[in-house]
Amino acid sequence: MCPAATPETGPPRGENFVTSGSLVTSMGNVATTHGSGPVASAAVPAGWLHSGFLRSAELFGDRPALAIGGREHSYAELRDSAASIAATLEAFAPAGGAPLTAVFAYRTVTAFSGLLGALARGHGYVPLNRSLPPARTRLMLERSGARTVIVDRESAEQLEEVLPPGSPPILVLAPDEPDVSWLASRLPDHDVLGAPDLKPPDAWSPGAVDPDAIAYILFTSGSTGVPKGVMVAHRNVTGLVANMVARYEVSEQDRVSQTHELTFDVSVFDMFVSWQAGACLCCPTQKELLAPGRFIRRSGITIWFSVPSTAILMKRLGMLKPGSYEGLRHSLFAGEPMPNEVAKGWIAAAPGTNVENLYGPTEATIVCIGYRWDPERSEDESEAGVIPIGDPLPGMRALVVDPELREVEPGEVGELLVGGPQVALGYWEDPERTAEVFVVPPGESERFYRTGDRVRLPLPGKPMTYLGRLDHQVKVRGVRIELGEVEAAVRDATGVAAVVAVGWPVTSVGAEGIVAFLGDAEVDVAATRAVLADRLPAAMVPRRFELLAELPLNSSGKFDRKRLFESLEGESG
Amino acid sequence: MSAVTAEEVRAVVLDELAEPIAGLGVAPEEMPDDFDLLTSGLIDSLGLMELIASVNERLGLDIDYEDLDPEGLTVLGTFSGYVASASAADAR
Repeated sequence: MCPAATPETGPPRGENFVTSGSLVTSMGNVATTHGSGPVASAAVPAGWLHSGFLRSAELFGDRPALAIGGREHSYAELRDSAASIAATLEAFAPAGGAPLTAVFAYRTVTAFSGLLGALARGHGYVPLNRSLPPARTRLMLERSGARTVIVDRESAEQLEEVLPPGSPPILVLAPDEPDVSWLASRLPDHDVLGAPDLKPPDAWSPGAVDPDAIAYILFTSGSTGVPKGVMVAHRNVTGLVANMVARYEVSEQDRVSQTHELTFDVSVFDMFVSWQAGACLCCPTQKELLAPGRFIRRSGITIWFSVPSTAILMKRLGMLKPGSYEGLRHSLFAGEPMPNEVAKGWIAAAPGTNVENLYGPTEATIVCIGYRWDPERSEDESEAGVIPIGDPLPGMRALVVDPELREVEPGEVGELLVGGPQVALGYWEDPERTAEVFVVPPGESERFYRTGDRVRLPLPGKPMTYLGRLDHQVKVRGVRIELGEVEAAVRDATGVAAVVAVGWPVTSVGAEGIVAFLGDAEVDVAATRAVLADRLPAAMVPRRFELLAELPLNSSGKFDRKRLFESLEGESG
Repeated sequence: MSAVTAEEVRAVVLDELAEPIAGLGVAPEEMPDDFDLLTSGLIDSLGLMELIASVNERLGLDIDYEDLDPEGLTVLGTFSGYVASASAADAR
């Protein structure tokens, strides 16, 4: 299908330009080649994260935008739901508060229409996930200052625990709930609206574009014990989305997986790369995620994206039989290191696929460095059995620096700094921590994000390789965890000051879980675990507690992490 | 491979999950058969895939999960029964 050519209205800036996937056939950076003809519509201003979705709703109204729970929802349907939510939010908006709307929904149509509705209303969205402990969700909502919450039926039950007592009145919209009287009676301090209160879709019209406005805030683990909210502006993400549509030649014929939780920023890629190109986003239910192979085949997935852990587990479960997934064109992995062996197993199972390892912290917007697997040379280019992270994506820059932020020589190891249009606005209401890690290195004029990742600066013609962390962050099945946050939570739950958390057992891609050492032999472990389970995501709750009379100190008087870690290595050896 | 009983599978599952179950304040032998490991929030979907792989490896099984309906896999009793009958079918 080829849309009729309409005169190009001219985007304000290259990076805000929105392309239609069906027109993009060349590889490369769309931001620098936009003269070649994407169609701009007068009714859909470019520059928003959701501009591409609105465009596709015009071009491909009857085609499926979302497949979920055994049903497909067309672009027109999803746009109308989103427009209706946006119009309702505008009509009933509470005065004051941050320009943010929380979306408390999990793998339902409302999760997607809600997030699009929040964006269409001109707000950034704050995703909340009911599979996290309510206390943590409450903390995120409080921190965000959002005064509006969109909730799906399945998450509404938890709302009582999530809405902070004594907080200013919140507007709760449950768009799929025909009768909200039960919910309203549980939330007497708040305004609750349901399906009958929804305004018609045509009551909404697109407002003015502010590319600097926040598109979303995602909370990541924070080393001092409180999650950090990363603010990403529309302008940080629109260029990336256009570039990715071009890189993978995504079209309305594609069916893209949506394995990532909305609280993880790779989900933004899944959604908005699909929708910009008119493709169908296929969202597995929580249970369908247990059988990814079956999901790929049944949903006719052409573009797969997951954390490497999913592929590793599929391999262990015998789900990577040769030739299993012939329909896959692209298989993308991000969030943690990707072992060679897994890439090879995946390609055997999906012989027609391109495999890429993508790298990127939330603070530099989803992915900013990428590596395409090549059977001829990738094994040689790998380091410690892990495939390289590769080269910066179009428009992005990578510096490898020493502790003084000066560039190291090729072949040397240093900290990775990332610069370019994807570098996020910073941490929500936290200028101090923003200033610590969003820095202008010597000799540079733009802001770079200090990733805390150790990489090797490649020799000319070679890809960059990832070597680990500089600090106490670990990945457990792709979930980014600051050990400092786990330690703070354990201290809080036990009253014990001497706490060290380590990632253990170590795997090729991170750690299987967390072990906590406490300098107190009298702690009630079961009670501690119960308290932590109410506060932390499952992956952050220590699997094991080691109670010692006291924790060893190193020569500088700090807890001797290394010795504690070695005690674990000793028992497995 | 040889057949295993549902009780053996259940015992391995409870052992693998001993620590999170301790956090629930429930004795392992009192865990109801209709307990849903996933929707209860005890583990997430990747954690459950890891559990299934560990059960396979510890019991020396080689069960094909590829085309299995994941619906029942998350429930303690159903899962144990499924693994037992699949191992029996294979052993025959």
